Amino acid sequence: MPARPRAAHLAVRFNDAVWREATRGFAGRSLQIATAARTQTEQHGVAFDDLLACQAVGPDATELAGCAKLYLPFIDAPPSQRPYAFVLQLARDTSGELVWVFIAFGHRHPPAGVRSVYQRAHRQLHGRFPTT
Amino acid sequence: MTSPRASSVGDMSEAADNAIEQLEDQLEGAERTLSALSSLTDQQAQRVAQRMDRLASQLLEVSAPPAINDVHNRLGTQPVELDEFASLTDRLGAADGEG
Repeated sequence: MPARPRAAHLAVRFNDAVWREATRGFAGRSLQIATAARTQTEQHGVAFDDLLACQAVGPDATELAGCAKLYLPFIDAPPSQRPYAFVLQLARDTSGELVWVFIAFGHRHPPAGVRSVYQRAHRQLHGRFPTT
Repeated sequence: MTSPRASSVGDMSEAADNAIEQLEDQLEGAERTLSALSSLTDQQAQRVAQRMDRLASQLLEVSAPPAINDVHNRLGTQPVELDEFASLTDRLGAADGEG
């Protein structure tokens, strides 16, 4: 059972099917970053001020209302040194506690031919990639 | 007797299944190659990682994600209403305009 997060931190819940889908194709450093962030957020939760709200409608027609992003790696460094992100959706569990649910992992600014973490999150929430 | 439309839908579904299978094979092949190599230069590792990224993205184009309602059911969670989320956004960091 994950450790209870500190006050002002919310727990983060991971579904294994979503995790497999989100990390498929990542290897080496990027997979290490994702795995380390999962371990850390499962054990300690995540503070509100470590997160940024996602846009209800983003620049690539992504619709991520109710979601927030966590820049990765989860270190004290400028955003330019944290090229990946988790997208998390705010939810309540059966006891009424607020929790974050993991939705997607990926590049914030992907290379050509690769979908961004925001597009991946849109697909996970809406079943398909956004149409621009 | 199968109608032409039903046959066409069946053909498309079969083609999608084949495409998914081929992409999964390629991706697994790249993963096996990567794990079999004991030492790669940074440049080689980056090339393999980029190839795997592109294959994974192609796979996402033709396959469906786990249904989000099922995900929440399994986790015992339910997304909050958007007005509740909005009431908490001042506790989050400033939006960056990326997405």
